[in-house]
Amino acid sequence: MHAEFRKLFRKGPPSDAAVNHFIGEHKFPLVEGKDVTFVFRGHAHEVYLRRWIHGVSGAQPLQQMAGSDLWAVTMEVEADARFEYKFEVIHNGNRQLVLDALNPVRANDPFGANSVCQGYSYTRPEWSNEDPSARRGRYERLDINSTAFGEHRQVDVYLPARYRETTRYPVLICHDGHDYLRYAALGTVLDNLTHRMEIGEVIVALTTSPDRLTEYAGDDRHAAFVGEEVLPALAERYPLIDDPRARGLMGASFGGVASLHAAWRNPGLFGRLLLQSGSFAFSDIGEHQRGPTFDPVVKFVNAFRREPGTLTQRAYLSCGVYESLIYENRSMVPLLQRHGIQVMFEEARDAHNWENWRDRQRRALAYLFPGPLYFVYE
Amino acid sequence: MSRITLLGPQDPDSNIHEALADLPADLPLVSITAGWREREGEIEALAHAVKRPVTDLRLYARANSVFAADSAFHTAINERQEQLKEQQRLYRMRLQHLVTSAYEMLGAETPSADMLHVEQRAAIAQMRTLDRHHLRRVTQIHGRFAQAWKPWERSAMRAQLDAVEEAVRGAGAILIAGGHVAVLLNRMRLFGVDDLLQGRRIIAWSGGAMALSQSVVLYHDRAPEGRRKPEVLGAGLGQVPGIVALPGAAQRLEREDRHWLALYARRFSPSKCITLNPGALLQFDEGRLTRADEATRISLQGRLKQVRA
Repeated sequence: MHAEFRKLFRKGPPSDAAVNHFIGEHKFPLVEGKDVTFVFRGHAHEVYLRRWIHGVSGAQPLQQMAGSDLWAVTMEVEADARFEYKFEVIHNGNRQLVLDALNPVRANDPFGANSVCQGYSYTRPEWSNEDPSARRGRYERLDINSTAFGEHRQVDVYLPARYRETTRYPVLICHDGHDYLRYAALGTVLDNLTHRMEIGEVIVALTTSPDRLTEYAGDDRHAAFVGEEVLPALAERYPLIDDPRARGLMGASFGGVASLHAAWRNPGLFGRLLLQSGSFAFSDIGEHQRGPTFDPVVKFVNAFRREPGTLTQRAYLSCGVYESLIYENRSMVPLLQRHGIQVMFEEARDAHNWENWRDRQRRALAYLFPGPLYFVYE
Repeated sequence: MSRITLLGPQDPDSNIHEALADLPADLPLVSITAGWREREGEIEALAHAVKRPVTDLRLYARANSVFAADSAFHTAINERQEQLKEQQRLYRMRLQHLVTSAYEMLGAETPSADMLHVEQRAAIAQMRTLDRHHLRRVTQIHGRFAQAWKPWERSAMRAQLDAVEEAVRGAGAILIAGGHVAVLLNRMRLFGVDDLLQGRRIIAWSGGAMALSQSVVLYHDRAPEGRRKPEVLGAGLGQVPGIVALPGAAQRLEREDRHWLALYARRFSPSKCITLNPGALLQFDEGRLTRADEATRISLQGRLKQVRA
């Protein structure tokens, strides 16, 4: 347990004022090398630490500190690791998942927020923060009357700073694009990396699905939407480079499945794939255990694994080692390589969340759409 | 007397004034900032650093106006650039494996040291052979283009060539900034600046220093996508033979990996791989190194040694 936290109880239960003072003076959770102490303050009968980590015990009990309303548990966390958690508080028979009120670091996603534990050497990549010297890209809206879905869809389009009609650009279609903007700072990252010439100037189409668990799960309508509607609409409106190497698909989780599936169903069209924590569940033998939502995913991934075909030329894959999908993502790498695809695969001590996907974007984008940095010596 | 001074990056701190200290204040200065592309000619900071007026040659803009006036020539240039890009891509494909194997050979351990040395030499020789082949191919592409299109005879070029020649001949010194080294070289060649530089007082930094060397080597050991294999881009202007300029090495060079550094030195020997960080200054008088400040060279053993005049 954290030495100073222990000291707080050396002379018996601390006063409220002493506890308040201690809390005011420290960052939580308390990190001391690899030891991380999680602290909950409040009235409860039991408190558990719930971590979003695959393969470790679901709940770690916190111990109530003698004579106080403080609860604590200490565990080892790798230096550069990052994971999300909440406290499960049981009080008068009620069970509630709550954020760590003492820790301001949160990971947001479309379903809410979690508290974030960062190992002592983790820092948010500086290139993901707004850089005042970087010129901003701008956004336009594209309306598409989708035959594939039989309804109107909107796609927002990121145009790099200094965009010119007279130049030709590569294009990247990003699934869950608005979530990427909101939760993974994609717009800022594109601005910064373009400004630093680490990536080339790229037009990015940001798509959002009203029913992603269906449309992204190996749905042929979606593949047609991407390949036969979104891409032609972009090519009509913007000056795009007409080369598969200058066309990419991107997505995380089910968005990764959607990207893979759309590339597979449109062979040779997309030469670049950016797949983050893809939900590439498969079951070569027997039944899968992931529930009915995954049925179409498994059906597609099984078919894909049997016959990847002419998928793409270069792919970047990443996955957190604390994810249940790590095995499926790892096994994708040799499969793609066997079919002549250049692959960069990255693992991180992280889980299935937007910050993980944010932190990997620099290498991913620079690998798929390298900028002129190599030629520029200021 | 011909004097060429090579400097490291000039941002955030500039040492260009040191290279100009002995130059009479009334001599006009001409700059070449084509490597800055769209930012070409934004030389207020440069003029402030040298404390005297500077006129930019505007080679990037001149080329654009030539292209606008002579579309056939522009198309031909674009085709040549596509050929160069493809040549670079094919070279890169072959290079990847050779560099990987040579690097592994330099780090290999064996009780048969003599045998290992033979294989190490052979692995490095393969890279050198490929580099030479690539240089020849790039030179051929440029040569064929020049022969077919004779840029200096095209009417859209003539007035520009005369203006560039007049400005260079009247200059007390020519300042060559960095930036996109391929663009810089292309524009300088297009307007015959390589010939005009002979015997002139030149101060070049970063990409400008690369452009003056015998061959231009692109490198970035800490690129965002991981360590890149150094590539020969093509011949430089050859004003400073015998060196491979590595500007911005503090950010780009993997200085802790001795085998990797040794690979640079042995691959490009007998040329010396010289790092040019901010504050570096190398002065060559009549081709002889007469002053060296804060520049290092990579030894054949992969160590960084101070360059001494």
